[in-house]
Parts: sequence; structure tokens; C-alpha cells
Amino acid sequence: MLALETQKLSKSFGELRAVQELNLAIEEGEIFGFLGSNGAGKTTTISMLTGQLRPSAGSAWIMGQGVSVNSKALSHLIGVVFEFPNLYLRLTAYQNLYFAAQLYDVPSARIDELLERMGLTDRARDSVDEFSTGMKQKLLIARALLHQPRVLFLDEPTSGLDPTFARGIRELVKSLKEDGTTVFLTTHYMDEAEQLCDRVAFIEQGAIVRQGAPKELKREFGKPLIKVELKDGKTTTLSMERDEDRRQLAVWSEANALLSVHSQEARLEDVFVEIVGKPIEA
Amino acid sequence: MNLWLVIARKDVLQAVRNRYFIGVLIISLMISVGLRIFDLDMATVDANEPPPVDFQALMFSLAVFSPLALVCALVVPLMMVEEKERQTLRFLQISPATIVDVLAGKALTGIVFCLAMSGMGLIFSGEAASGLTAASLVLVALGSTLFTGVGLLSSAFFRTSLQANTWAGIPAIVLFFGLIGEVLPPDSGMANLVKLIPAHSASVLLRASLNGSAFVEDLAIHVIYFGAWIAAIYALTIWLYRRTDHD
Repeated sequence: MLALETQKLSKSFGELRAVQELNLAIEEGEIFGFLGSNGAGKTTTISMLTGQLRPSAGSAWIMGQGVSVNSKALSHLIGVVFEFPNLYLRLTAYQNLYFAAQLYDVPSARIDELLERMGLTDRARDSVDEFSTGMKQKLLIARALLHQPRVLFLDEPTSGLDPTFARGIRELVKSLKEDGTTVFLTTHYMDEAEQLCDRVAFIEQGAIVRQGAPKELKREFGKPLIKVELKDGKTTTLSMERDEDRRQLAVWSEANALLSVHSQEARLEDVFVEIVGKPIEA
Repeated sequence: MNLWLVIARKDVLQAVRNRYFIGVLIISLMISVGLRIFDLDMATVDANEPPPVDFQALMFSLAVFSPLALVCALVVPLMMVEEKERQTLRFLQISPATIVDVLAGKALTGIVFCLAMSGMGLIFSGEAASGLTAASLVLVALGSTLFTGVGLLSSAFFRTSLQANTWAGIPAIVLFFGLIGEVLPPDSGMANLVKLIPAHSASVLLRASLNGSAFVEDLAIHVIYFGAWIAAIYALTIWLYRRTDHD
């Protein structure tokens, strides 16, 4: 069974076509990256897939269950980590999770389990207002995982986090895959998508322009690059598809100026530029 | 547990940590204590022959209804607007709770606050001993439901706390204006207009019932009048939230 499927899912706001005829098929246990610039339609898509927003046209299914607004069955299948830390700031971490646990009818033992997993046990009785951005993000993830959803939506989960917290979040996402949870991840950090995702889709102006496994996309669209280190200490990256780069390499070689030459795999970011025609805008 | 009870419990926890709620509590206490200092004597209030201007009766209405107006203007709209502003409403939208659960939870919280504060107003102003009847309790309960409903309705028009703080007082002032009908010249156009405001008839009836001259059976027509207002306000609130929800 597919964890998530859409057919011609579309959303318009007046004249603006925010999402256009989106077709997705995501397998259970897959980490799927949904990549695009700000305003490309990522959050609108998540809003439709999670029943927050009514589509203008098309259909979507989560674990075979038709997506619709106010669906209790859907709410138990999905968990959402919002881009904005939408927690109750005047409540403590425990109270936030306890409220969510009561909404989803989850035993309170699960709260302690998740606080432990997120490393928040010591701060459980502190007001969320006092939390750092990273701690709020961990609490958001804990809240989304409370009812053990089959599909987890992560909207820019590492945006604005320091590298340590961001690494912790990425490790957590990897561990979710091991648990069999399907992850739908939106991000504009290409390196993150490359590290985590089994497949990615590039979205631009509300439409998917390409989707596939990062390795396949890089093989298909990536340009062979070499990293050159010169004896004078300078380093540079050259494309073997460009004549002037090949000529420059020959010049350095004849002049015996090369210290080392290494082939370098194309990056997903380069593939995005190749396909979309411009770099991703944060 | 019902989801609206879960939401109400959370809202109580949130509200008691809210500076507006603390402010409302302090202002209500000050009004009540102020009335006690004036040493009002409800025995002088005769509902059958009300004097043209009855300041004592007016002050008594203020003791009971001013906390309701404050909750209506400052506490209830913010409970809902903060959910929008902090985007916690989006979390509630994806949870098993419906918008009706959310509104019902907030209504319950608002009504409980109103009842607690008007009760406090009666106790601290010394009027609780002047003869609370079942009729007066019914009126306070209906008044609390009405004022809370108006607060929720006004919240449907605001997206930020700043908007709510600036404008939510207006419907509360209109309701509150109904309380001062007694000080207007009788049979004037304004006095007749004020009588249409449900808070006005509530205050007149409340004073009469505390004075022992109105009973539950006398309230039937007023309960229907109030009930119609309450039903209309809550139905309009739900319709407004459903209309804007998910689109």
C-alpha cells in the first residue's frame, strides 16, 4: 500500500495557482523530500495533505484513507511538525504534550518516553517560553510523534537551528525510517535532502518539475566536476563539460602546477539549478 | 474525556498565566470592594416602582456585569485570537478536535470565568447576602453565556492580539451600555433603544430577583429572549469560523 498518493492535486487562491496538478506516490517507510524555494507551494501542499486546507481540485490519500478536512481517521494517521513553533508558550513542555495526548487519547506514559527520547526530561516542567529554538523544535517533533503516526510531515525542520541541533534532528529522522514511519520532508537545504531522502521532488511555481532518487537525478542531470588543488595552495572546481575549464586544466598540467586532481560528485543543489534554472531561494 | 473539555482545561491553564486575565481579576475585585465602601443597601431598591435614576441599582448591576464585560472584551477574544496568531489553531485543525470542539471549550472556559467573577463581585460587594434566588442565578448564568458568546463572535473578525485588544471592547461596551438604561430619562428614544440590549433586561431582572420580586416562573419570556440571542450569537460564530476554516 502507498503511504501517500495524490492525483492532480491543485489549489488556487483567486487567480494565483499555488499548487498545480500534483501527482505523488510515496511508499511506506520512505523519506520523501519536497524541495523548492520559498513560495513554491510546499507548505500549501502540506496543508492540503494534512486536511488543513481544502484542495481546489484533485484527490489525495494517506494509507489508503481519502484526505478530507475534519477527518478523525486522518488525524490519527498523520503527524505534522510545523515550520512555525506553534506551541502553547505559557504552558510547560509536559503540559503541551499532555494536552496533545488527551486530544489523541494517548496514555501519559508515552509522554515520558518521548521526553526521554528528545532529551527534554530535565526541562519537562519549564515553561516553553523559556526554550531555545532547537528545544522547541524537539518538542514539536515529540508532539507530532505522540500518537505514533504512520506518516510524518516535517516542514523545514532544521530551519534556523544551530548545527548541533540540526544534526540531532537529522539523526532522529533517520531513526524514524528505521521504525517504519513514512516521512514527507520539505526543506530548502539541499545537503540535508541529499543525506536523508530516498527520493526527492523539485517544486517550482506550484508544479513538480522533476522527481526521483537523488543519485539518479545527479547521474542524469549532474555535470562531472573535478576538484583541483594547485601547488601554490589555491583550490578550484572545474566542469569537464566546459571547454575553457578543460583548457585551463591542460595549461596547469603543462606548467606542472597541479598538486592534486579529484573527481567530485555533482551536488543536488547543482541538479536543482540545472533543472529549475535558478538556485533555491531560502 | 470529551475533546471540548480537554480544550477548556488547557484554556484555563493558559488564561491563569495571562496578564489580561490577572488584570480583569484585579479590576473586578476593585469594583466589588469599591461598591462595598459605598455601602449599598439593596433593600431600598424596589423593582415595582423604580426611581427615575437609581444609582444604587446601577452600581449593583455594575458589580455583577462589569466582570462579564471585561471577560467578554479582554479574555475570551484573546483565547481564540492567540490560537490564530501562534498558529496553534493549525495544530488543532489536524488533531481529532473540530472547530466546534474548540469553540465549545473556549465558551465553557469563558462562562466559568464569568460565573466565578460575577460571584466574586456579589461576595466582595456584600450583595450575595441580599437574597440570591434561583431566578438571579439563572440570569447570571445566561448573562455569562451571552457575554462569552459575544467575545467569541468578535474574535472571528481578528487575526492578531493587537486587533483584538483595540476593537474587542466595542461589543462589550454596547452590552455594558445596556446596564445604564436606568440613568437615562424614561421613555426617551435612547432609553427605549437601550432596552433592546439584552444586558439591560438582565440587569433589571437581576435587581428585581435579588429584591425578591421576581421568580424563576417570571423569567420564562426573558429566558426565551436571552436564549434566542445566545443561540443566534453562537450559531453565527460557528458559521463564521467554518466559513473561513480550511479555505
